[in-house]
Amino acid sequence: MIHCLLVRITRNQQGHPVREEHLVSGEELSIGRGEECTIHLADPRANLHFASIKHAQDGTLSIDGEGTLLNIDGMYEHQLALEQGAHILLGPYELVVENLGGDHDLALSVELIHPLATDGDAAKRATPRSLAETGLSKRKLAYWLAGIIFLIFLVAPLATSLSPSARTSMAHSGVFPNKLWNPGLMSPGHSSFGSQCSKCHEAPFRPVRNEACLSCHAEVGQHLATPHLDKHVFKETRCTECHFDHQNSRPIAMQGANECIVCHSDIKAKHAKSDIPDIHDFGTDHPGFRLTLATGINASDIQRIAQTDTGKLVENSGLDFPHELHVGLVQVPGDMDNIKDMKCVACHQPDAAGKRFLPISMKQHCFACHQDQLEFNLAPEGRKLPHGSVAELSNTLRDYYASLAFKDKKSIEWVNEQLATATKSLTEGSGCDYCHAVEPAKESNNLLKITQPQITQNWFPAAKFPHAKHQAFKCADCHKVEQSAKSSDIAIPAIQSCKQCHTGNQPSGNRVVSNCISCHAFHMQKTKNP
Amino acid sequence: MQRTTLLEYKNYRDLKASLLLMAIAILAYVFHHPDLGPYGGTWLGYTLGTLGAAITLVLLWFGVYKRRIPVQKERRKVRDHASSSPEMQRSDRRVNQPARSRHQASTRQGWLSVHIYFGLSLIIVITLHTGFDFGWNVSTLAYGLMLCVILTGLYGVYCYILLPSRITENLGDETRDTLLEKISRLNEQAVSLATQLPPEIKEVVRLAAEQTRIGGSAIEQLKPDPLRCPTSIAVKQLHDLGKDLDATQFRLYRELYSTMLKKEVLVNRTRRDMSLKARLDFWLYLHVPLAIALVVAVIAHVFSIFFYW
Repeated sequence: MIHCLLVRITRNQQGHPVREEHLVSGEELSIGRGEECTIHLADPRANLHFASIKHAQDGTLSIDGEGTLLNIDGMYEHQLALEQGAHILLGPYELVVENLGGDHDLALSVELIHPLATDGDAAKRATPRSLAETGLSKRKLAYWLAGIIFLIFLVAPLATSLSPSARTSMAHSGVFPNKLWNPGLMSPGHSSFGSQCSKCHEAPFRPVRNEACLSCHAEVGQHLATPHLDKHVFKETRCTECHFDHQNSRPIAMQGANECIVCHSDIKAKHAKSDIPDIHDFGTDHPGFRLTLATGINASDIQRIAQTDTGKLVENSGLDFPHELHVGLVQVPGDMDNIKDMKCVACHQPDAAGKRFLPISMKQHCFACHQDQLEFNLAPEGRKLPHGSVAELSNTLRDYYASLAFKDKKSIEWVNEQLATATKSLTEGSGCDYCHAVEPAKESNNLLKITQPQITQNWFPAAKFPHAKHQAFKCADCHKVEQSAKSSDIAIPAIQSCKQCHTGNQPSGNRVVSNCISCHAFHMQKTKNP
Repeated sequence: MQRTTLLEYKNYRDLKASLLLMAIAILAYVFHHPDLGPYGGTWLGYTLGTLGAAITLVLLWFGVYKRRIPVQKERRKVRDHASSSPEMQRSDRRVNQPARSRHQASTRQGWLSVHIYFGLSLIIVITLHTGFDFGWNVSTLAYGLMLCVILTGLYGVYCYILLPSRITENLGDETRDTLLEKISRLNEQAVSLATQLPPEIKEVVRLAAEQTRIGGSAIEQLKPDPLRCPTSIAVKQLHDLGKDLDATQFRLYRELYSTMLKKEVLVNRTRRDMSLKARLDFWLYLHVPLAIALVVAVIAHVFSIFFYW
């Protein structure tokens, strides 16, 4: 049995030792962190079992490292007899043999000479052992990153938006911070504004006003022909509700049918007196087409007539023009050997936009074949009757017969008589009435009355039909003119013809999805002289 | 234990909620056909954007909430120091942990679960908000930052799941301090042993003792290079210096060599511990600053939209 006076030494604030004595005893004294150890060393760095003090065979006390080397007085030994004053280092502890023999077998002091580093000590360590000790700071990184973004992406664009001088000076240096606020590429028409956002965005936090749009787009008209009705229906609707810019490559105008159908699916709810039929989809309930054509010579005679109303569907062009005689292989009048292969485009020449056709011109389109019908050689001078003006025609004839009368010394009555006969002959099948609807001249003035030709230029003013996009088809696929013997025939295809290739808002087979905007424009075009 | 509770909190409650949110967003996107195609300015775009911003702010609250925890840790540390032994400390913590503290830990876990799963849902919600419409502007910057925050967060989850077990495995019964203490002891022992050996051996051991550094810059902590470690170099050199020694010296040399080998193992273990802990911390040095930057970018984005209304 070993009786040991264990002296635990701690240090007070001044660093002076404070001794605390205990008595421990056992057959052998185990030293370590383990709870079973007689001399318990609490520091977490201590081994569970460091060593044991035991009686040697000769009765002396010795310390045994039990396999590990012990540092005793600077020497390393596995086992050593204890001597008075011996210093044994065990981890962070120093054990000193203060006394051997006497009241106790052994007096042993234990002191924690290398206490665990406190936070303060850690900070003083030369080598950083955690990321925080390297000086890296989440807070600093966050402030820097956030600050840079704040300056570049908020302050700089804001400054250039609020201060034109700042914008100009930055633009001179090739820097456009407010482009960082641009949510997408502007439409080609607006891209020339560049970084002058205030052209449209007149005031901060205010929606773009219609006036800003109309300051340039003055020609854009309202939707309804009646101004007060238009105002009643659309109230405060803003341009930007249908037109979106900064949409990269997307079109600036709304392309879908949804907004149209909101009103046109139940048009009476919007305007009780409306006579427009309800419509939901081109593919399902679009009404048949109505053609816009002149029923007389006055402006008020222009009417919209349903294609189903065949009785009224008569074109009064004032011309006698059977299409069947002007298509395919055609013999030029008065020339048996002159056969021409007439194509539609010989007369119907597309306009530059590829949407409609240029107006038919007598000189350009008729004269080449109908030269003989248009020229009346008045022998012997070889004078020709002019085309286009009835008065000029009459004057030319009068002048001709007057010159004959002067030469042959005939009376003015003879002149009038010849003039009346000649004028009458122009209405007898081979003169003006070869093409025109002509009323005989009155005796009082010998002036023929020729109906002003009215060839309908635009059958669907409220719709668009880009012919250029339909070049894959032959004209005759839609316009049945080869059997048309009368000039009053109308060869505009009906809606069924369109539906062979086009469907409504929902895909159907391999037909082209087509919505309202595909054929109709929302805005009426403003005319300069209404 | 941590692995299961971190992602499986309350039987994947937050994962399910997050998946539901993503599914609703995707369905709305698929069935929404704006006239000009999808983008942030449609009603669905604004809805998803507002929802995404709200989620971002709520998730940021986790960062604020988490900062309150160290105060509690400090209190616990004080109490732990008052206890006598580590075993006592551990048992004390288990037995005497106040109910309030347990409740807070559970709430923190709940928040973390919400943070992870709803953070991931932002990938869908905000991508659909953009309508895949990107450009060189503040909006796309905010989107990019958001993806970076989420990716660093994902890496953090990966670290939190894998690294703690590796740290425990590496440390065994030791702690960082006990390892350092042992290294220091082995160092002293090696230097002391070397004093009785030829000068070239003494020099090798001295250099290893003086130049071996554990820790250093962030890169040295994250990726320590064992080939450049002075202790490892010393061990290699010692291997060749053991010839021509007499019997007494050779016994000391064997002891020294064994000490240096032990030290090398402990140095590498300590470095690995530091590297693992640095990795456990490092992602936060990206995640937190990027998240703060994201907030500023989102503010700039929203401000710019309403400034040019």
